[in-house]
This record gives sequence, structure tokens and C-alpha cells, in this order.
Amino acid sequence: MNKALLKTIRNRMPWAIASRAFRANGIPTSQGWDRTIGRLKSLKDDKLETIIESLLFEHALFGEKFTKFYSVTDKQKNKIREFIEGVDIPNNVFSAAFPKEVNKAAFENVTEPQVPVAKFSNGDGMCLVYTSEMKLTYREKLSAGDFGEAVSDILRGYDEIIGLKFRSVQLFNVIWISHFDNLLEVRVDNPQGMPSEASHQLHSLLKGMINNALGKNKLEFARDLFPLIDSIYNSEDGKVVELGFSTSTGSVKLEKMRRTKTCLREELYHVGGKRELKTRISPYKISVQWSFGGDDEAYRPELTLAGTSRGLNSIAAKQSAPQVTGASIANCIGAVDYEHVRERISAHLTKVSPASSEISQTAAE
Amino acid sequence: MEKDPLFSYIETRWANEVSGHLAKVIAERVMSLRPQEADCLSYPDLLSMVGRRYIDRDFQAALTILTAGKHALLRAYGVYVDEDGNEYPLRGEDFTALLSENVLVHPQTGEVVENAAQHVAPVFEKAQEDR
Repeated sequence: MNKALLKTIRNRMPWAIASRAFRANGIPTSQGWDRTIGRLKSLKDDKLETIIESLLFEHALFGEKFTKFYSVTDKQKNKIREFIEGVDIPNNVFSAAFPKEVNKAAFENVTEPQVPVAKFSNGDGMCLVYTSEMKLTYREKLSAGDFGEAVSDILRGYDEIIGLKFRSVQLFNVIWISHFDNLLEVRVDNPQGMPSEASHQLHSLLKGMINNALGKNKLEFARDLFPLIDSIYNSEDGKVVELGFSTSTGSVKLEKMRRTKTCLREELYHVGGKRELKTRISPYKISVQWSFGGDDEAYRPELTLAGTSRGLNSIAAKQSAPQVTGASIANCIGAVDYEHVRERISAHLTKVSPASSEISQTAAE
Repeated sequence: MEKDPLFSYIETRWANEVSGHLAKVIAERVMSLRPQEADCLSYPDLLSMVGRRYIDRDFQAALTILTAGKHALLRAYGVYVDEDGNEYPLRGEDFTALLSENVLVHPQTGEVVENAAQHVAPVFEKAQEDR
């Protein structure tokens, strides 16, 4: 089986998602990546290879993304479509490999910050995929005993020894315009270890590219998703698995569910704590998970909206700057589960600001 | 789980043993809990039910009584805590592989975890059919 294909899927897909997707598609798995890759490497099966490539393609578009949503007018939407249609996908190593990663050396001579690798239109929308390289830093705890005796003696005075690992990752970033509503999506890859500042910088870059195409009719702020935290928490939508909130008693809490079976909204300690207060709690961060797809619950997408406890009380909020400009959409195998989360986001956006309903109305010019 | 069959089962086999007495006390307490309260019981939780601070042979035997056989009230599973403090419940095959072979695959990275058992805390839940 194609080594680059296997290497890419290992680099990009969290094991929990890959093993679930593999099982659902009849691809043999074993204990962990090493053994699974070892098993697949020796197989010569074109059909399996096609399935893995299509899983990878879906993952490039929908897996582990940090997404921003922009309201666009019909005029802007048409301009963005024209822009996507007009982008020339160069015939190079990046486009030839997509959705597989390239050898990192391929980026050495790249001068553009984003290289277009694919574009297509389907029944749902139109999209343009860019790729770029990002150097991430990982921290790893080390033990003094890992070093020679002389060094160990020096290090023994420290409570914790941290090693830094630098890893270059290839990102796939997506501009997506739906056929059915007036929400433009910009999705950037959000692998483990990706600093949020880097995600925001990537978003600024992509937004700038879109704005260049739009001319004077530029995109405004990304939609503020902060109101959705409260809206989702106060609904019965999905299972809340993490909640950050502040209380009028001066405490700031971050609650997580160890088990996904119970929704945090109904967890006894959480409910009991709320009952003791005469005031409401103020959620500022939420992670919510949906499970569907039969008895095996093949799909378990997770949405995280992460604000801060300053929330809507900050001075910036009073100047109407968005508080949560992006959504982390994780655990998706592909379009089915990602679209489920998007549909829920859209529904809650409509609920919190019905006047700017994305589905039924066109944003004002 | 009905109280009577479990208690008769304990009475029949461990009537005069400390482990039997401890098993009954723990069973009484677990059965009095609301469903969610018995989802994630740690060793310290169970020890406190019988007023003990340390795990000894009698306590361990009491847990075996409550987790084995057709009247099992508790089911054991594990919680894996990785280097970054993320927690993952381990059940079924994953927990069995950990107990029998000390093998664990990190749910996110897919890498095999070294010294797996050191990173997993055993916990207990009230058996599902009793909810």
C-alpha cells in the first residue's frame, strides 16, 4: 500500500477517529498506529487504498478544524465564487499529492504563504483548499536519569525538566461557500499543539486574500460565537462534556465530564451547585458532543467554543468586538459529522440573532 | 440488582468472614446512591464507605465478591491520565488488554504507552443492568 498515504493518515488523524473510521469501512486495524500501519503496508489492495484516500480527502476538508464564519451578502457570495473559479491550481508536487502530504523539503522553495492545491463544487457548496507549512513546538517531560551521570547531577536540582521538540506539519486550509445560506466558512487545520495565535494569523491571511478579491465590499468581523455558548448550554442540544463558567460568588469553574454518557447539564454536582445560587451562572467556554450513526455511534463530532471569563463584561465587548471568533470542530470523520455541527451552529446563530438569520435571509448590503 | 439475592449470596458463602461483612456494607451504601453517584467510584470512595484508610486483603476480597459472579454489583474500569492531564475512560477490550498484558494505546496519538498500568486509575461503577 502507498507509503505516503499511510504516513499522511497517521500524521493527520487522531487514532480514536482513524480506528473508528477504519472499522466502519472494513479496513483492518491492530493495537495502535505502529501495528496497524505495519499490517496495512504489506497489503496490496487497490480498493482499500481508494477508501483510505477518500477518508484522507474528507479529513483534509472537515477533520480537526478551527473555523470562522462570516456573514456575506449575495453580491459578496457571487464574488467569492468567481474568485474560487478564477484561482488557477498549479500543476505541482502539492496538487499532485493532495490529499497526501508532501516531503517537507518541498516547502523550501515556496514563496507564497498559501499554495492552492484543490478546488471543487458539489451539491452543498464550493471550496478552495490551500496548503502551508507550520512549525509546532511540543513540550516533553524528561527525567534526570535520562542523561549521563555528570548532567544528571546538575539537573537533580530541578523539579521538572522539559524538552522541546520542533515538528513541521503540513496544513490544509479551506475556504467554503455554501450554496444554501449566506455564511462563508474559513477552516484552518487545528492539529494538537497548534497555538491559537497561529490559527488566528492564518485566518487573517486567508481573510485578506478573500478581501483582495472582494475589492471595496470587504468581509466584516467573523461572526461572534460567544452568545452560542449560553444558547447551547441552555438547550438540550448534544451532550455537554466541558463547561467553563463564572458565578456571582466570585468563583470561576472549569468542569469536565470524565465519562461521555452523562451530560454535564444534568450532572448531580453541577445541578446541586447551581441550585444553591439565586443568580445564574455565566458560561464562557463549552464543549459539546453529538453521537449518532447507529449502535456503534460511528459519528461523535465535538464543538468547542472557548471564550474567557471576562466574557461580555470586558471593555472590548462594549465596543462590540466579537468575543469568540472561531469554533474548534473536532472528532469528525468527514462531511456527515462536520455538517451536523455546522447545522447546529447555524441554528443557534439564528436563535441568538434572528434578524440576521443565515438560512432564511440575505445579509443586508 | 436486588438486595436480597446479593445478600443471601454473601451470607451463604462468607457469613463469618470480614470480607463478607465489608461487602455487605459497601453494597448497602452503593445501592443507596443515585445512579450518577455510582458512575465513578474510586478506591478511596469505597474505603470511606467502610471507614477504612488502606486497602488490605479483606477489603480486596470484599471487592472481588462485589465484582465477580452473577450477582456482581460493581464493574471495574480504568481511567487513563496522559502526560498532559487528559483523561480517557478505558473499557472492554482496552481495559482487558491493560490488565492482562499491560498494553495500552493512547486514544489520541495511537502510540503504545510505556508502563501503562502506572498511568491508569482503577474505578468502579454500579453494574448497568441495575440502573
